[in-house]
Amino acid sequence: MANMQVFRSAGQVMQINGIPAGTQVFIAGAQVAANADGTYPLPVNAAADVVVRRGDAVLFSTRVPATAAGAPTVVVPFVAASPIPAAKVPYEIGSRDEIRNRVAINKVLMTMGGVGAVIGIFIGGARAWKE
Amino acid sequence: MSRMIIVPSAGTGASAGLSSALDSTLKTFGLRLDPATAPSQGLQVHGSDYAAYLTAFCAGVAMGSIAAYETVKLGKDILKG
Repeated sequence: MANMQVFRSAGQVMQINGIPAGTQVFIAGAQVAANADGTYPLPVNAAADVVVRRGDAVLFSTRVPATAAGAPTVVVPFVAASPIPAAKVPYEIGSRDEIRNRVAINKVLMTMGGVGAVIGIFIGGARAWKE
Repeated sequence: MSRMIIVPSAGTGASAGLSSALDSTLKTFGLRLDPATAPSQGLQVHGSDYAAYLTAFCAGVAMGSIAAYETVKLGKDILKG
């Protein structure tokens, strides 16, 4: 296949309509942060693959379509790549999801220890006070 | 394997502020998942994790109880002279 030359002027941005919260957007392989108005900057004169991820899961991917003449904003509707599988697959050891899962569990673990300590203080204090 | 997500209901006005405060408190203590840091398919908790929760709770009660008991006893001894 012949190389395709992409002409995209500077300052062009992309808007993803209906993008879910808590997702990360990667354009041409690099994670990009949204502008203040919720748009994403596009690379100049380069093809741009857009991938929307949540953790390790790819929710949506597309190539950036051409802009309409004179319009600097490319509007892309968010369409989930596939429905979330009903059967839950255990997270792969060492993956970002697995690390986040472990962190969340440890957070609850510390909370449980703290709640137990507070209850224990009342129990111990009351026991010593009665003696 | 099960999923544990506590979702507070949305509110308006003062209740929205309270809901937001409750929401952030729950997130701080790990009782509600923060979408920005949550795993993509939700929290996966196994049986051993529940055993660890129980152990942590019992250890907390034991440590808190002993610490408070000894502290109160020491305080009473000091006050008695």
